[in-house]
Amino acid sequence: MGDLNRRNFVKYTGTAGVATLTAGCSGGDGGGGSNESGSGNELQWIGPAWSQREGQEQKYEEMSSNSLNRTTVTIPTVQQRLLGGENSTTDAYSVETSGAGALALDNDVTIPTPVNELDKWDPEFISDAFLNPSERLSYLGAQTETINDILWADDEQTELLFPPHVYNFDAVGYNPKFVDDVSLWSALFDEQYEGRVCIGETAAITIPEALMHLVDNDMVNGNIGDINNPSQDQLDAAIDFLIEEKEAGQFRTTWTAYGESVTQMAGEEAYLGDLWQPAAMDVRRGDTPCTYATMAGGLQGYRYWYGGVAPVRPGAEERGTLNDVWSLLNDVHYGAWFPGFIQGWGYSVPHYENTDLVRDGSDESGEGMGPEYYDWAYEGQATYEAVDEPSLFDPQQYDWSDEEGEPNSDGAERDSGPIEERFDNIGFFQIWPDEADYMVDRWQDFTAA
Amino acid sequence: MTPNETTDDGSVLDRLQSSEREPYLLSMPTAVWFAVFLIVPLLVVGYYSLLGYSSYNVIFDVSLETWRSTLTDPTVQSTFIRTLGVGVGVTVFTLILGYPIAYYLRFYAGELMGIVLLLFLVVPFWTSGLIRTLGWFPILGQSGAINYLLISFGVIEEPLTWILFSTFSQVLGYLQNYLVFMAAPIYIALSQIDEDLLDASETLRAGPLSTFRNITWPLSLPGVAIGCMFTFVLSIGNLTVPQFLSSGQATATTLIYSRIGTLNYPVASSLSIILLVVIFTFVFTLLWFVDIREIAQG
Repeated sequence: MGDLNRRNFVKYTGTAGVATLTAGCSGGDGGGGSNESGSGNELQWIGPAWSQREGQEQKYEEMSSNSLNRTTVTIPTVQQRLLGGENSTTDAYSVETSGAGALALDNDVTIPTPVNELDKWDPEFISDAFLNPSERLSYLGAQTETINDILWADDEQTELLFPPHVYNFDAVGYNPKFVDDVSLWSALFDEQYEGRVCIGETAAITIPEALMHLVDNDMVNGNIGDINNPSQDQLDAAIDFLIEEKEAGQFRTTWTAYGESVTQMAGEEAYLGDLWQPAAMDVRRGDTPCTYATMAGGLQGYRYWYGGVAPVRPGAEERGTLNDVWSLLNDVHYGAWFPGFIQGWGYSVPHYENTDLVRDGSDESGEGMGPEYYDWAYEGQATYEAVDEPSLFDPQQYDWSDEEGEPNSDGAERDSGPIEERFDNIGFFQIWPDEADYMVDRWQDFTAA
Repeated sequence: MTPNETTDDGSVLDRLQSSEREPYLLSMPTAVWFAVFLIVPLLVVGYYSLLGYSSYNVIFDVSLETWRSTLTDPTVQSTFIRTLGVGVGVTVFTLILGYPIAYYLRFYAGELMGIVLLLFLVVPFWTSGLIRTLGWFPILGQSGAINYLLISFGVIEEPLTWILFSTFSQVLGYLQNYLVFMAAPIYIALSQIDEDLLDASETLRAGPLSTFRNITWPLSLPGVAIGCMFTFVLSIGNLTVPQFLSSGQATATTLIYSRIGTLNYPVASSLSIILLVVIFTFVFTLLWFVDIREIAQG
């Protein structure tokens, strides 16, 4: 008999419920506070759940005395609504870099943000991955240009086109009960896991994951510089390969909503998958072990992306909320409080190098992370306390110390290692590729297979 | 002709004209409703299907290019054939299960009990379709109830994987959703069968099978037709079941949904119209063979 027992059965049910709630979460109800410093208009902010949580809304309202209304929808819905006319009634949007292409590059619904409006955007403490990706991430070759394209409105770096507030290094999530160490995307296509892999059904994500495997194994021509902007031939090769794998039964099923990946992993339907890191955390919260892989780097490195908050054109201009949006970005997201808050879901912040603020300091937004949490999140240090089962470790439940201490040899280390190592091992920067129309057309062959 | 006669004639004429107009006036709200909420939206969808698309932007140049590419796309063709197959299969399967239920409720459960039991089939609809669909996970999953019981009783050693994220689970999902839509109209049709006909059949020494073949079945056909219509139309338009219970195979609706996700309204519109034509053809064929007005006449 497998590992089936009453506890598993009950937990399965519970996690399915949590996943359902997560997948279907709805927007906040706004607040009722009056504005003392801004436009007086309630700030209208639209974005997916991972980018705008209740804590951020509360913190903004607490700091500004202005009210904020979150509308929580999927990325395609953000695009639909803003490009469908709601850009005149919305002040700010948040998506990630592949979703931002349609809003900041292909269409003019984004107002660039002058860096001098963000007093906490201090180049001295912002990672070079944002200020100078061509050098810090030079091994990515031409991919670094695509980072600059979406990040900066001008070469002089006076204006941010799509200002970052979180980012992550997506990897393979796996259940260590069934899967040995994984560090390659190739694991998703490994025959020994046949029928136990859950794989995303988002073209712009799944295709490059397959491409990394194919190019690294000389099954497709390519190099790391062009892997995030594939040609039609590369797209064909990757999609044909994925169709073969799907028809051969490699995948348990595909997932589109975040909660589906959580449910599949928490119920042990799937043993590994291309999870988002918050999904891996939610799997753990369902009492199923889940390890987020430390990727090998090179052609099979992390899938790197960043999420940002940008003012909407013409909404923020016409409604006079431009300064409010910048305040949301600057005061809440570039402050001391946010890095610790968002690390609970595994995400990092651009200003982590400002240890005086993020690690040891505080500002009007609140306390920084403290030494133990910061060193765990960014330096790869173990927790001060021993942890029995690292693959069940939940940073939101752990009691982080405010005092300096010693990492415990039996403590839990953050999945994927120190931040600088993660930056050294990116394989792919997530964008909306030039051949997107062709990609989407061909992608229906995969979904139909 | 007296003035009074003239008035009377005018009054009669008015009444005649008024009574002629009455049906039109009475049907006006329905006609307006259909025009505003069906015809106009369909015209908009039809117009969008003639437009072009490029990277999150609809191109407002009218042409048949979207239709040409959609109709000649092998993936679209195979997806629609599969969707049609699923719709017909689910309808037949639901009929096979739904008819005996309706038959039992009509002839064996008593009138009150029949209605009460039919209501039980409706109770699951008090919650959302998503919850009803996800509710299968703790039943069919690796660590779900069925695997738990089968393993506990030593029937199997390893959990069955084919009962979830498969055609099996997809069919179960449809059945759960649409059984009531099949059983209810059949129950109503069966309830309207004149008991005297059944008695006469028995008096004439017809056996139960013969009575069923010659009386019960033909008279229940309007209910069967309506049940099939509901089940077919709802199942091929369902998004939740294939999304969450299948192994990831697209249907016509998931194809439409994915195109909306990239704001490709022209292709989504053309796919929607094709789906509408498929549904219309099915319903028209069904109504060609069965006169469902009989069920309304009681």
